[in-house]
Amino acid sequence: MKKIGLFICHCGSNIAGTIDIPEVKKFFSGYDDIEISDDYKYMCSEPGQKKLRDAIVDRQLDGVVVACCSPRMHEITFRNAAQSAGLNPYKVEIANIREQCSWVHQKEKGKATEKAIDIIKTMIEKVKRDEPLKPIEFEITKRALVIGGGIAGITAAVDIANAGYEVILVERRHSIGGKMLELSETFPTLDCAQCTLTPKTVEAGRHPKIKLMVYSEVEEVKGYIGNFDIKIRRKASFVDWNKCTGCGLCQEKCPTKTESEFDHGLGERKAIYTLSPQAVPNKPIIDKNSCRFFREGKCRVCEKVCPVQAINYEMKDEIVEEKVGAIVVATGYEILETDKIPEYGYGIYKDVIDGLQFERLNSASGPTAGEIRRPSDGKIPKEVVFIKCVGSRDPEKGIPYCSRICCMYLGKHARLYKHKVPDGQAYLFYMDIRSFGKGYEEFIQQSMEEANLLYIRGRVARIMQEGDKLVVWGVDTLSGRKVEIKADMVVLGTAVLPSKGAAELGKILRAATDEYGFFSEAHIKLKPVESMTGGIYLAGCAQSPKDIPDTVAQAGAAAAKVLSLFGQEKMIQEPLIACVDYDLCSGCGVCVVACPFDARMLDQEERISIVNEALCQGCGACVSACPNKACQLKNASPKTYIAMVDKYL
Amino acid sequence: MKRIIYYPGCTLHSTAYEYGNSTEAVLKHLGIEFEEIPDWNCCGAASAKSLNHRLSILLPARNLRNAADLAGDVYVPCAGCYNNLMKAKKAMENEEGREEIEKKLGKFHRIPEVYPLMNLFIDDKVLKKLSENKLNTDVKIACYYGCAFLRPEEILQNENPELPKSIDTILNTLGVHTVEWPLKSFCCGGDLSLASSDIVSVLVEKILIYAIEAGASAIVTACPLCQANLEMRQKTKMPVFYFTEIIGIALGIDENKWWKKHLVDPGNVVSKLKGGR
Repeated sequence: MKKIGLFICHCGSNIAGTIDIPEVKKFFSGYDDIEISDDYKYMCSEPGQKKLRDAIVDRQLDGVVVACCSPRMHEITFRNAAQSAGLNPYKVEIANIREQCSWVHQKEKGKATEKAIDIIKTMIEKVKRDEPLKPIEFEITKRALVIGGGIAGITAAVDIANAGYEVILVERRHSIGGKMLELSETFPTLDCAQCTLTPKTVEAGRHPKIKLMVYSEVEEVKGYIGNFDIKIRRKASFVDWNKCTGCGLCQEKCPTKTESEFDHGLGERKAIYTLSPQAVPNKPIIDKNSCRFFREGKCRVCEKVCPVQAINYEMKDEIVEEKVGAIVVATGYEILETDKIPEYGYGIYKDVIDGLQFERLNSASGPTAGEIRRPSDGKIPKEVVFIKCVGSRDPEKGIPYCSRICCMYLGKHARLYKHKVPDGQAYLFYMDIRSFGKGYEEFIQQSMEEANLLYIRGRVARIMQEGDKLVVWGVDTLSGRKVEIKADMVVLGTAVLPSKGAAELGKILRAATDEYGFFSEAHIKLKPVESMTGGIYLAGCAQSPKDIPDTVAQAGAAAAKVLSLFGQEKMIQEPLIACVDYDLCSGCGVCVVACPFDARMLDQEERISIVNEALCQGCGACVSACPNKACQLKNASPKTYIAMVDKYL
Repeated sequence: MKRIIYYPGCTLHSTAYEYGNSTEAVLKHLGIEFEEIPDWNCCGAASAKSLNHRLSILLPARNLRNAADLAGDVYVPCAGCYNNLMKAKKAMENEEGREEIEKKLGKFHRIPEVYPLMNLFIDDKVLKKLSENKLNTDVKIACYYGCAFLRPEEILQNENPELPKSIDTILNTLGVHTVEWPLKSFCCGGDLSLASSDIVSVLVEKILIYAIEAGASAIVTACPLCQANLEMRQKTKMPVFYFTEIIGIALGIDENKWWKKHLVDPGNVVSKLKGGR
């Protein structure tokens, strides 16, 4: 005889309103193996839990069924309560009579009561067969990998490193700082982006706990939370950075000029170059696609002028292997491609530029040294049109979501333009103004009232070149009139997209991405920085479009999550996972193929299949795949389930 | 070569006679077999849809039903007809819509594919044939597509409405230089020509200004209503051709009776183009 305790929860009226609880309680008093059948208004409350604990002690229970809400809600509550009373927590089972019974059968009270009894009966059969289990413990590699060296990645890396853990910061480009380093001044305070950011880049570059790996990309990720094996491709820079002193002579003498990606095509750079004057690390690379030596086989000017012989044309990509326990994904964003909105002439007319290009025009380190001069002829534009929601909130032509930063940065752009060209006129076409952050609404109001920016509520239909003017056809929906502006320059607030390759990286990490390529969070409200995969955390625009304050906040949160993982002595995992009956296993390997978590492998010597307990999520794919019924889930064997079904029938 | 089902529509037998005549001449010359939809009727044009939605679907649907008896795809030279046929096709996409139409018109044993006439010529084989008849000319053309071939995008699923290319491709293959200009798919005013011609005049003037600004000496279109509006409502003297007329010149099969139908004398441009043969 087993001694099982049954506790029925009313959940206020959620359950008791539909199910006849005294009837259920009566049915199970004196039922086989039931030592005590009790009920309470809220079992999850402290008095409710006390009932459970007291019964375990007083009646020496060896199993408990709580008939209440979904196990997703309070299984952990009752298991912890049982454990504190000395019962193995895995001898506690939940009979879900709320979501799967009272809520869905509110109009059939009699039948609902019968069904609740059936559900409880089956769970009693399960508890009778449950084995006491112990949580699985494994070691944690207390080093973190941060992918992406923008403001999000830098913040997360520095926060983790400051707590004393080693961080590998991987960045695709050859210096850190990301998009923020390209910005001129930032909303809502109009402070210089470089001045805000460079202390951070310098700190990340110098931090003894941060291993900076720029011009590198993550190529392979194996393992699981606490123990990831990473392969990182360090791309050939053709410059030996150990020798290079960053003197800049090679850049000065290089004869080849090409479009600068840092200036978004508005300025030029050399074939051997650092991204910006404030580059961290301040080491150049050779761009193979534009370098004269790589294209034509002759030149070698940089090699000749380098005082420390750092140039090495033979350099090859290198694969670096690292072990880490947690990963922060901070891969940032891109903006919509130029060919997506042909009616605005983006990519066709030189003076139709995007928001990031305007940042470069306005930046002291930019192609015009901070003077607002239009790209086509270098004239100072006197009429500038700014257009919001270009591709954003436009499911037919672009993307349906709001890019969240354009309302603010175009307002900021227009204001900066007015600072530099006081006699110029700025027009802003908008759908509505989303100024949700701290100090944002005040900023926009001030822009309208004091800076004399002309906000026009409406969309632009078309932009056309007419002589050296751009004719902008739009509509003012407040006055119901068509608007035609002969502008000198147009700035588009183009949609924010996930950075190129984000979806591919998601596959490498086995972390889910959404339909647009942004990384999916585990729960939109309660787990906004955790990815769907254990040990992988999200920061910044990798998850969704964000402004700098939100990005920094999320990066800090991601770092905190990493630290709370590293703060544990050992990783604890639920023991409800697969196990193998070695007498039945023939080592066929079907389970290895079936497992979506790479948790199964063959022991070649013993010719049997084994379970990696840290990786197994207890999904049961191997159980249904196994032809010999050798794979089983702990406390959920086919025998148990057949007994449960038998009881029900 | 290919075999197609041809739906000329009313206009190509009347006001746009030169479009119909040049189309048939060009098809014959290129060896493209075509057969008119048996007993075809008006597509409903602009009138049906402004009076009775059901009628505006049933009229073009009847043409589709009759076309279904022949083999091949339907090619439509007129933008308005193409637009109406596609709307009927769309209405038949769901079972309910199809049942309702079949109740009136009888069973469809297939729903034929419907394409604008231009699509026939941007086929690789046809383009190759056209490229053997290049014109050596410095005449610059502004290709004008109008609305009805391009919008609504989700029903037509034809070309990018903001950046159409088909007529440019055909003319470039013939060696004719086409200009880049922003109003390729701008509206000419369409049916408003009858009720509010002043609006059409304003729109046409805009189109003409931009075509001239871009350096064009003629406009080429595929839509009979656009052609009529552009020639009739302009204050300048820029001829507006159908693309089939230009192909006809290149193939050396053009006829004087085409040019007589134009409201703006195209003689100057025609002789320049002919000079390039």
